[in-house]
Amino acid sequence: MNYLCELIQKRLCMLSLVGLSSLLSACGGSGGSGDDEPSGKISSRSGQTSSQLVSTGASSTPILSSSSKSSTATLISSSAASAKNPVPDLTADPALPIKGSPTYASATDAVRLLSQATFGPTAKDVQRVMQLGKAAWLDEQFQKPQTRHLYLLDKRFTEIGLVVQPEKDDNEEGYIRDLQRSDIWWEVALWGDDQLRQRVAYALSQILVISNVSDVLYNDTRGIANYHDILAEHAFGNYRDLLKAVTLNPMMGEYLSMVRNEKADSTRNIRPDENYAREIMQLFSIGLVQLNLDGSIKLDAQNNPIPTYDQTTVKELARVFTGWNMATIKQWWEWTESGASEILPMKSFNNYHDFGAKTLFGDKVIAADKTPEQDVDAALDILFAHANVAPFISKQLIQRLVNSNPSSAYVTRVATVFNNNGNNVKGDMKAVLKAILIDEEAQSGHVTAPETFGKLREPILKVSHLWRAFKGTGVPTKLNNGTVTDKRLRFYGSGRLMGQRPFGSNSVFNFYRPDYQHPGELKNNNLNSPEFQILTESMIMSQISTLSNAVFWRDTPHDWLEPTIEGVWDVFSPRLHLERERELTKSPAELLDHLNLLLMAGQMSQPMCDVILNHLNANKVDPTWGQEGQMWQRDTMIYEALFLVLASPEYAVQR
Amino acid sequence: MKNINRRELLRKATSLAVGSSAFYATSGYFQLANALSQPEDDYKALVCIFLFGGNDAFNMVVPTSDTGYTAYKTTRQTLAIEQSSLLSISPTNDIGIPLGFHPSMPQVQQLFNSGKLALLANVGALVEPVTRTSYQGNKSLLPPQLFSHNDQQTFLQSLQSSARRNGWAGRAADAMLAVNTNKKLSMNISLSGSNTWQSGASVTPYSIDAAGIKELENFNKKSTDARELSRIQIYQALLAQSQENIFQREFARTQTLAWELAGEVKTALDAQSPLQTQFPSGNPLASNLKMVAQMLSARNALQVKRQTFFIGMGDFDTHGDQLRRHTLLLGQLSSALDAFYKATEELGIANKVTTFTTSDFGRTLTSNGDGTDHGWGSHQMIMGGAVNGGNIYGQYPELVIGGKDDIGEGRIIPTTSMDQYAATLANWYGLPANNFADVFPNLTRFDSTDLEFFKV
Repeated sequence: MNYLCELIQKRLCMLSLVGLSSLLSACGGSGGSGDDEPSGKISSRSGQTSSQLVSTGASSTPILSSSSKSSTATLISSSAASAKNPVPDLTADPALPIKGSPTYASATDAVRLLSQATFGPTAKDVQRVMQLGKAAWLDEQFQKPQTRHLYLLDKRFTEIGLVVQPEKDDNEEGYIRDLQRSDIWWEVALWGDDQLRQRVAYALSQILVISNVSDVLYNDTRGIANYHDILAEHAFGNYRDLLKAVTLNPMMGEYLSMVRNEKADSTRNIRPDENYAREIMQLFSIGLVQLNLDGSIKLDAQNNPIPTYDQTTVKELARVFTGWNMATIKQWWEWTESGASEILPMKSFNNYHDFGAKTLFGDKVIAADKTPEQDVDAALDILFAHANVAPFISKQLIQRLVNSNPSSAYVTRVATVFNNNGNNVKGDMKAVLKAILIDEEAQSGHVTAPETFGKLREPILKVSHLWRAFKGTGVPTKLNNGTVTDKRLRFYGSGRLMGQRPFGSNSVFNFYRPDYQHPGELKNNNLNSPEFQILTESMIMSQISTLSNAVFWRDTPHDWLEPTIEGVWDVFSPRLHLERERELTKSPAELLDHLNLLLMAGQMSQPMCDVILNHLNANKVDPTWGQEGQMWQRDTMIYEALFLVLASPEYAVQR
Repeated sequence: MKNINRRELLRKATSLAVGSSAFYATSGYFQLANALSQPEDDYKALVCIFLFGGNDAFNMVVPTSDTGYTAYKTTRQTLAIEQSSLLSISPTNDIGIPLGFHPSMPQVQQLFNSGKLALLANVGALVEPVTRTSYQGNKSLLPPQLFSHNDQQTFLQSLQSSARRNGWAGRAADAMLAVNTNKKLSMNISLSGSNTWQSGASVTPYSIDAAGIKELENFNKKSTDARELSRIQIYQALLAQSQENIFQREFARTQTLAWELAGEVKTALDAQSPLQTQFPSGNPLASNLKMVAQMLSARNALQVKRQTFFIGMGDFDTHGDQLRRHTLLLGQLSSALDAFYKATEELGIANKVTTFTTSDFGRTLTSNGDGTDHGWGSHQMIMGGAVNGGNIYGQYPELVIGGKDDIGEGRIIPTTSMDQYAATLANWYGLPANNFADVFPNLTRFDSTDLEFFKV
């Protein structure tokens, strides 16, 4: 009877799994202001007309190293091999302190830090932080070699028989290639050793946004992987160098149309493209209005905000960013689809650059006759020197990692370090990250301001937390030709299912705005709540369903869990490994305490604990059942407990 | 005549309200009582299609006569649409400039020529009327951060310049709460998630998506599995617990409402017969409009008399590769509008549903070589059986660089304000007169408060 019940459960689960996965090929997400999947099956753009042919050579070599405001930033493409391959660690977990033990508080502190600084605490990382202390753990993270997406992606292409750098775009294959890129993203997020670097890169990808939701970056799979690597590289470098690397990156060039941007030409009645000029100011460096050091808006005598720039500055800056094109072409008008062009920094063409003097902000003059690259450097120096950069970027990094509404004192402390790391260097990211994560507000905000501290967990981080803490690993899948692949996990469908996909926001304005205030109680209390912008009624339902499907029956090493899935499906929900939790089912209270620590840093309220514990106690393992039946009861107890915690309002907030 | 009446009423409402809060209350009461006493089929919906990124309407509607086209071609150069490919329209009202639609919009051309669709020329974000001289002399009150995407989206949706804003459809819904019998389902439904337009002081949009209403998996209330039924109770108990933290509270509120509404809305939708109208595939806007049509079909089951729907359509920020990208977008817009109009005819409510477009801003008349940049004024479309279509409203601007409406690079000063456009829509929708001052804060600065693009 019991055994039969188990079989039925498994069947049902398999059906629902298949149902879930089969949805994806049919539908393209929520539509509206943007679908999750790249919409394009685009054909290559027609080349520009040959009447524009003006012979020119490259005026400068591609810039491979950054401007070295700090000494740390160098190109490390050769270091790929030195980073550990991201593979799951299935060795037994250390026992964590139990509630009431002397070291429990230090364990909860460790979990809180790891929630802010990684893709989710694991028992092993909790132990490591407890051993080293927070500051030393950060230092250890700063030393970890970078896990590189592009290196892993190219390897994966080879493994599955795709050409690493195809000469031409293939729109059918483009989607398959982007699935691989997303797979690598998840493998690195879940299993990469350099957790802090990767988490910060993810945060930066929400400030310096590119996205392949629109078709502009369709087929630019390697370029997007490389763009992530650039963010991860400079995550521990200097923000000024990051600005330059992003400015000259061909993916950003395509996304905000700086590539192929020409100087004004009165015979053709054209003038420079203003796109990048506007957005680098509005979103990547200084913002729209003047800020105080604490991130608050400066007001004029009439109590109005003071704009940081006007249309004249946009036009002048647009002239700075003229004359750049793909590094692999020889003539300005050439069109290229080469994989190499997605990676190399753009190169400049003198004939298309505006060599006149430019004036930014009314009085910051860039002299005439500088090279295109000197112009870029001069402009970035001017932007970087602006007093807004420190509070503007510091506050957003705090919001991504720690807290939606940092106090003005917290922003001031971090912005001060941004302006000067103690050695007269501005923009030192390691110093800034340390200032953010070791700050007293990050460490004890949940005690000092329990009603308002924290941030809604991002959908991506909820899932990564689950898969890290409970050892998600891939499942074997079948390609169209029948080949069974290595174990894969895939969550490219996160946009469709949970409202968020890395490098998949609807526009350069990210998934949400940092100053978004959700209508109702949050807005009435003047509280920012960025992540609520994507927590719509339809999405919250889908999120909870997705989480339940990621938990129930996901730790069963039987054949049924390993469906034959074609290569183009966008979700392979991982298998979990719940050995430790299975041991704890002997005592539902201990199981719940364990989940409370690992998922909620011990912050579960007593009422929540009581309600879930009642449920677990009502479904205790019955020793009169046979062995299979008891196993089934143990597993269901874990699924029930784990899922109810993950779906709860208390877990929904990282604090 | 109509304008004067409206303005008179507004003046009365504002002036009397100062001295007498009783008038305010009474007037509002009568308006709502009127709406409530309408017969069963009293239903109206406003469907907003927001073209995110800034639609280049100067390439969507183009002068066709030789003189008009030459001026346009001189400005637009390589970005100009070929004269011979333009789809001519024959407006009933003669504005003196023959015009044609972009070649990818044959359905819209047809809708216009058959009187189902109207054009509103050169409308945009304005706080007060602006001239080139007043703009250049910094003499005009302007919306904050002209030319910035998100600021202009927020202004067009809120019509407010203050720091903490809400939307005009949100404020309208706040004022009309009594109209719908269904108090749980928001009057404002979004197909594209959170938005300012539909968020008021108390009303927030209810979000659905084109794939249909989702129920919670593993939470089947009709399950025979005792464990699942118990799980439902436990989760409901967790959601009902009092939360110390404000974010936790908001999550619990959203989840509770979403869970309750999903069941109710799905039941109402499942009871309707499927639509016969074919919607184009591979067209996200069409999928969203199809979902709107399904919601419209369930209006009686849902016990609603007034609804707004918000749909965003992205990717109009054509700084580069404009000719190719814009053609695809306008083609999708055109075929989706056509299918949706047919669906409202199928439902017998074509004259109860008004669909309108808006967008961040127009784009520069000048080209950057491969695309256009952020402009200001732009043309919009209004579609529906109640619309006096086949006409062009507003003033068609001079498409000349350095002309009287150009503030530089062919950024054209709007000659009609979003407040006027929106107020005309709201007047048809039935917003009580005494709410206009609050919902449309800039309206009284403009001469005409009703653009008369609805049939009388």
